[in-house]
Amino acid sequence: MMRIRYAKHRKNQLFRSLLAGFLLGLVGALIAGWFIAPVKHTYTPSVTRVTEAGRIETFRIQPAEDLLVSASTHPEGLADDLAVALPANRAEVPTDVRLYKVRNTEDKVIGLASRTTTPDADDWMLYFAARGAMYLSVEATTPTTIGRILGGSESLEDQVGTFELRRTGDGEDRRIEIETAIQRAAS
Amino acid sequence: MKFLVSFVIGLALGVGAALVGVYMGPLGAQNDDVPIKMDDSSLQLAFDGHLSGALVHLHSGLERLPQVPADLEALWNPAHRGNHALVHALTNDANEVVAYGVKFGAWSEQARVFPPAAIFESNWQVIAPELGSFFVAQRENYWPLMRAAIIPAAKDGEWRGNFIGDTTVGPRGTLEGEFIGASGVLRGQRGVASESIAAKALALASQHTTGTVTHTLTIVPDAIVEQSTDDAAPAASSPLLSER
Repeated sequence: MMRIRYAKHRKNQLFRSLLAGFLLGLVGALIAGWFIAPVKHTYTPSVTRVTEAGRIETFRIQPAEDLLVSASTHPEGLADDLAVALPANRAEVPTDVRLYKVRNTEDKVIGLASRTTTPDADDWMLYFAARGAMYLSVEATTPTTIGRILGGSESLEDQVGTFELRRTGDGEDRRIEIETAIQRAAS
Repeated sequence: MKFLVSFVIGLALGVGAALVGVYMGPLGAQNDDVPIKMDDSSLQLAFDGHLSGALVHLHSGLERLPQVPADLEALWNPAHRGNHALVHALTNDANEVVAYGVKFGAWSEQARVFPPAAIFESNWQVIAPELGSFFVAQRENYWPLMRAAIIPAAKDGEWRGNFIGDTTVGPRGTLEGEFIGASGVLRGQRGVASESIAAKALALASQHTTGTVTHTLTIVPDAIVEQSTDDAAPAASSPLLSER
């Protein structure tokens, strides 16, 4: 009789430890799922300076190294290994799309950039996963390329201002430098 | 020792039950349907939504997805970890190509296992040669699509069904994205944007995806924004043409 009672007691204790583990696992997994972010972005500090023109941040692109894709409705003449043909649009307007890596002033890759152009429009988007995106629209190309920062997303949301795009060097040493001046948060 | 083993088995069962409950449970099964009020100035653009339907899809290789085109360099730089870069041809309801869009995005740090939320922060840069250009900032939740179609397709190789739903869940409190006009007749316009998916079939293979998945990007401008006196260029006066 004592042995039967003892065996029953041990069985109960085993069941209780199983149940305790189950409850801890269930609640612990839900709590961990609530608080732990499965995604963590690498944040590269930006190099900025503040002037009367606003908060200045400069980005660089080295087209020879940083061009990822060159897509066009007229891809003839583009480098074959990076060229993608865009299907013709209804109005048959020539259109180009380019994707680049973008660097900071220390030449460290910090994000992505895209440029879309037609004869009437020229826009850039600068994207940094840990910060968001910045939306740029070119206003004039001569004598220098200048434009407006229209806004952005995430931490760059509501940031408006102006930018200047400069091209230096030639051949393999060509560089594009985009100097942005954030003047205010959009109202 | 037996108690420790029993405890560990219970722990594993508890974690498993939590994961099954998260996957099968009703939480997050569908994004809230936000009827977007359209008018004559609205624009709806569609594109092929299964990933190999993009003209370009570059990513860092974390997900087991093909690069499109296959011979392009992946985004291997640490700064691009988790990033996605896509280029799409966008069509009107007559299936004519009327725009091209670049979409940059990454899985968000706001993504969670419980309640399930596969949050993807994305940005569109769209050029519509007949109208102008615009940008869209949005926060998307892909968990309903993942649960309904992508995970079954990954398990079984393919999925067939009928999934319709919005992916946009912000950043506006109304669960809509932000539209910012840049040039042409869209210059100076701001408004809301929303992206939705209609999926009937999806097949995942290591080098290619196929399927019937259509995304629709809808933008609805607010009233024309008054141009500030600082702007050099005059405001566009033509109304936004409906593509419907």
